[in-house]
Amino acid sequence: MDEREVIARVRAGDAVAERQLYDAHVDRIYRLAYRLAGDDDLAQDFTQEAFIRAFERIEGFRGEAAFGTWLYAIATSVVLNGLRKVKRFREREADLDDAVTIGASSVDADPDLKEKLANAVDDLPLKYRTVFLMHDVEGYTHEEIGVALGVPPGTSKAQLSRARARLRDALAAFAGQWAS
Amino acid sequence: MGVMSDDRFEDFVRQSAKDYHRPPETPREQMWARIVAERAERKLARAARPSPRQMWIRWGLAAAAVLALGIGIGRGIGPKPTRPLMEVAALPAGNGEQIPAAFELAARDHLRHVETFFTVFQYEARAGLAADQTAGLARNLLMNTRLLMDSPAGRDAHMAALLDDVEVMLAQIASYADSPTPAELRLIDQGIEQRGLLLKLRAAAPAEYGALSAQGVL
Repeated sequence: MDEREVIARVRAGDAVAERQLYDAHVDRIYRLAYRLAGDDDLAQDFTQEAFIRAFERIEGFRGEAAFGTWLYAIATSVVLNGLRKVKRFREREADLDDAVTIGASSVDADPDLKEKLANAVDDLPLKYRTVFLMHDVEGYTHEEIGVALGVPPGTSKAQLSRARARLRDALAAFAGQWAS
Repeated sequence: MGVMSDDRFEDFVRQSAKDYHRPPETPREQMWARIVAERAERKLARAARPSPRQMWIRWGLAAAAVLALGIGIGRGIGPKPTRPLMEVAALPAGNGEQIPAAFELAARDHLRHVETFFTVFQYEARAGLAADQTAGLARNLLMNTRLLMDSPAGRDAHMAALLDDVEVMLAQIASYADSPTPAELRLIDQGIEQRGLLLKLRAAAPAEYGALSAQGVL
């Protein structure tokens, strides 16, 4: 069935159609949420909230972009806002218990390349990390990322380029493993 | 150390990053069950809230009290209105799809504040002056924006779309303190431009309207 028909049925309150839309998009939303959050509970919370908001706001979906693109924009907003809240919460906790938490994350004796890469990705500013994971890992196009983040595709490209540059710097010690 | 190849580096990173926070299988059924339950719960909570009519009466009484106080003060000490107050009160009434006048006044007043804020923010951002305190102001405006989105003003499609745009940009400015970099400022500035927000705000809450409502009320 055409997705527009499914959306029309969702607007009419059809629960089966809601489930169809959910099934069509949930994998991609959950995968992105998990990649960004790195935590199953958070990824599930973000995914659920994204779908709840989408169903609540579906009357406002004007069909100017694909439904998936519209939904990814909602999901990205939910995830990024959620991660900012989590970050603030963890920072407050770290203030109270800084010796243990901060010490543990910064002292990493001799990480192998994958660990080093993971640490470098963690250290990217949230927007660069989002673009990098969406594009290089989850295969979103710059156009999709642009809509999701509310920026022009060119900005997405620029952010990806900066993210890669930072990763290259962080991994310079391992250059032999990909250099010719 | 050899010469790095861009292509090789990108391939290497793309391959290696697949293991970064590798997602498990999507827990579809579990999440769907929670979505259904959460939506039902929110629906119940909404039903338990005062009806729009009751809310309208409360807002209306509050607005009337503020207007009455303002008129009293205005008559005592303020300048004479250049246009009769009746013109302000004759805004679309609270029936059907139209926004009740009290909410429309509140929404337009808020949008004028937002427009001023964005204008100053853009100027400061471009001049490299934007300070962390901006985030606090943005948060206050964001809170009022969300209140209006949930009020009858948010039921008007045009107003709702504008408030949505305003919410997104204010949220970005409010979170600017998390990563206060020139690049971040540029992105926010571009976002305001790209959405044509200042033009939309000026169209939605023209200065003449603001002056008129201010004169009428105070």
